[in-house]
Amino acid sequence: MPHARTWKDTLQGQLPPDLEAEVNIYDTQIELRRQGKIDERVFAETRLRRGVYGQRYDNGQRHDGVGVQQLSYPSGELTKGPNTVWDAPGMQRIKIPFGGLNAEQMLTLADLAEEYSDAICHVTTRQDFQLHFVHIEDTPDLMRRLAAVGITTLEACGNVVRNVTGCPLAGVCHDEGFDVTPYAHALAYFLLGHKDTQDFGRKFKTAFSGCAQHACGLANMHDLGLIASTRLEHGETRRGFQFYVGGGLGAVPHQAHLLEAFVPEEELLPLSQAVCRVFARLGEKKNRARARLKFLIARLGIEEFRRLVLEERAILPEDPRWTAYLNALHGTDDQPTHPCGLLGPGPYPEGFQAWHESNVYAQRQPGYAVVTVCLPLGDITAQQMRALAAITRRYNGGRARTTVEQNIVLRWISQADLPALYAELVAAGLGQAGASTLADITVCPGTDTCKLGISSSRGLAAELRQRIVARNGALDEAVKPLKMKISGCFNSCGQHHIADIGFYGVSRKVGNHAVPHFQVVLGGQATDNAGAYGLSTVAIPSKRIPDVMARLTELYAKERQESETFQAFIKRTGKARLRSLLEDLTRVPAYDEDRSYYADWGNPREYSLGDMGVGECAGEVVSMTQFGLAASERQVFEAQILLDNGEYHKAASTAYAAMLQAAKALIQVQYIDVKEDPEYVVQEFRQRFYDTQLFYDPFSGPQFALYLFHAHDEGLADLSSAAVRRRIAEANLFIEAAYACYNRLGQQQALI
Amino acid sequence: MDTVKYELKLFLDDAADVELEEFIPVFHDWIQTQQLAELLIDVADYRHVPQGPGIVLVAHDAHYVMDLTDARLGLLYSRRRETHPSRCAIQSVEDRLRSVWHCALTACQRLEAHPVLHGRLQFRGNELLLRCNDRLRAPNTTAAYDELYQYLEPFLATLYPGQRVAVAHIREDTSRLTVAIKVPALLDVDTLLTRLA
Repeated sequence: MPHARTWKDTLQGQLPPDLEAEVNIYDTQIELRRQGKIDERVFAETRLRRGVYGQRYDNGQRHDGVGVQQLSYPSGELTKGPNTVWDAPGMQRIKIPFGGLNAEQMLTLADLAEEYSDAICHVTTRQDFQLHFVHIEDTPDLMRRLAAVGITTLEACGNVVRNVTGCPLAGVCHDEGFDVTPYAHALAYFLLGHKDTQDFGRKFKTAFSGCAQHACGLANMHDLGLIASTRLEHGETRRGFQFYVGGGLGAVPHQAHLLEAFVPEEELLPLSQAVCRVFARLGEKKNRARARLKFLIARLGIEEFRRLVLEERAILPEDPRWTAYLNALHGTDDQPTHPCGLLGPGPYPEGFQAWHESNVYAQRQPGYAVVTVCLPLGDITAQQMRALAAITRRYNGGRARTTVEQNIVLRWISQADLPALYAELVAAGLGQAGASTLADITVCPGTDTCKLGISSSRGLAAELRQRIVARNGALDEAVKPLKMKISGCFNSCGQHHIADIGFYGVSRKVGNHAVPHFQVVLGGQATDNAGAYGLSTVAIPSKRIPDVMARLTELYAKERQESETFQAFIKRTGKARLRSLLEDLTRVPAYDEDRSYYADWGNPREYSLGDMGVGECAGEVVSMTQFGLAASERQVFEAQILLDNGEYHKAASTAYAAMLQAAKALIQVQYIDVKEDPEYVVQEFRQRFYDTQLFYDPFSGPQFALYLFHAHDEGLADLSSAAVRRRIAEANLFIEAAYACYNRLGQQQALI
Repeated sequence: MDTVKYELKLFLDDAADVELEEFIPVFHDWIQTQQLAELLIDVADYRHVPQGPGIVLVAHDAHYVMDLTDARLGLLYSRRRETHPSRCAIQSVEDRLRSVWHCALTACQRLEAHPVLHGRLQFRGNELLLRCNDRLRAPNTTAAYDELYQYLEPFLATLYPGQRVAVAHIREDTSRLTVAIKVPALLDVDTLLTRLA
């Protein structure tokens, strides 16, 4: 039986055309990088914008507990980014807008985890999936197979709009203003690849919430936070959003500012676009540490920022996509597949009562419930994912959503089905109770795989979880619902700032040895959409953190006043007293006395900071022009392939398109809104770069510009092999001249 | 059968008196001393996931997993590519099967012999699971199984001479081409390695 040669062949025509084209472009760029024809910085940003990340040790070195080992990969000197070895395992981030998944997608994720990763799908704190230990050469096929089920990894990482998150209870929540799902969907796909979102100096995160008071959406800690809101106008209820900007965690968290108290639904997309344009135009591009939107707003002040955004909004060219989706708001609705029903009288399977109490939320729609499937540390095996896909098909038509607590929820479950569903989840190892409780710890990958990790967040989380689960029956009822969040470093991917009890990894020197520690962060608040941020209290050795957790929870259980929240308790107790409570835990025994302190959780190696590397969270700042020029190089390479295949017509038109692309990229240095029309591009190029002599080569003068003009005027008149070959050669020279011009412009700018 | 992505699982004897946690320092030790014919990279800990890939030793060409799928602990060898010099000469499916078995058995042997684990675990050489981790080139079909079987049968005959080898295509609940291999008599890893050589 003949087998298909490649996934590209097998899936040809089955992918959405734009996604297929994108993956094919990426495939070509991989080949060009292998040939050294793309700069490693440009390639790094290229792959980051497709969610292809580096991992720890990808500089080819690893501290083995004794010394640094060189990892001699077969790829030798070839890199996939600055100081990032080609063959080194990487991470693939997969965006899931508002966490919405179907069964087919879940099955595909399971397949990919087995074939390209370690058979584990990891849910992140932004509703994405991540697959670890993925080889870069597997990523195009991985992307194709995702695209075949409607998932794109485009703009999962890099200086772009990241995954748009949304409340997992949207559409079924008792307290929401309205279902934000269609709006999250619309904004996610409107901003994806939008020309106004390609020139950021840093990432941009967006979140939707159906209400102001709960913790699900976390709008206050996002660059763009939208909270559903309604108001009565002329007797009619109008939908809109509280529009927040400039929130963010990172090392120093900022609360978002209210840009507008009510943005009507038809203004959601254009106003968001206007925010992006201002950020692209005025945001910091050189200093990565100050390049998030929050810093721009801090510098300008919210009033001036608002003025700039509204000014930008006023000049935006009209786009029908702003409102087209409003005619089909119910297109994203989930529909129940079982009739509504009440929970029967029992008997129930063992463990069902406790699970029901913590993991089941009664929907607004009578007779239906949302079930939370707890994933320890956000991990689910491929086999479990398959089982879950089958379960969803049986009970709710094959739908699920990821959550920022790194779990998966199943909505529209008939309450009458809950015991049977629970039994099936238990059989799949997915019946753990304790959703959103102390045992349900949010944690970033940390030193397991992240280059920025300082201490083992996952190792600590696993240890704490094990202890809490073992003690669950004995935990005070007030303690059980507390939220614990752990980050491996100060960058707060684990969102420790908004936890009741938060930790982030730090390091301390004791004698001649480094010792892993965690800062204890108290005073955070996840409710009210990430209403408040905690502050560091004291740094404690990693191996004593379980004692910290025990003492804090015991103190709270013992001394809290009636219905006092943990945050209020912390404030009342005071940081000074809390610190003194934990002071004795800061002591680190001498190295010869107890070496366990000198290794981190789950890791026998002596602790070292030697494996930290340069983070790729932002990627390099690569300008739109650089991207455009790289794209033109790819196109002219494709033209050569077409010529070799005897496809002269396509080769000639592709070479011409490559020159237009390079010209357009240069124009964008001066003017961003370049139209695609070739006549327009050539005219703009002539006026801005030829007539001004900016494009003139110091030695060859205007020659290379004339290649573009001739190609534009000649069209496809002569399709002989020789003519096409000449056209391609001229395109190459034009592109080189465009690079040289760009470099000259950059040098002139540096001198100003 | 144009794929390199084979997996082979050898099960631990039921009497094995060992915790998953104990494999972590062993695998880290292997990285330090560069045991195995591999570029060994890292260790991943998935003990918190039920019936999952317990502890994973990540190498460039393969993963070595103390795997708990279906609640049966064993070593799962999962090949991803063939770049190590010891594998560059592989030309045929027979060579590849031999190589896969060699890698898996060698890892089992090293585990059995490791000072920390010595005497406490034994792998069952008479029960194995072979899988093609490549849905494109080795789909879970009768035709693909038949193609694999024509190479597998003679190969197994050399490993288990004179014994009746039960080879079964596992169809249910799996989406990858998976074969269960069993012989009646218990056999140890050392003997199999000798026969491979």
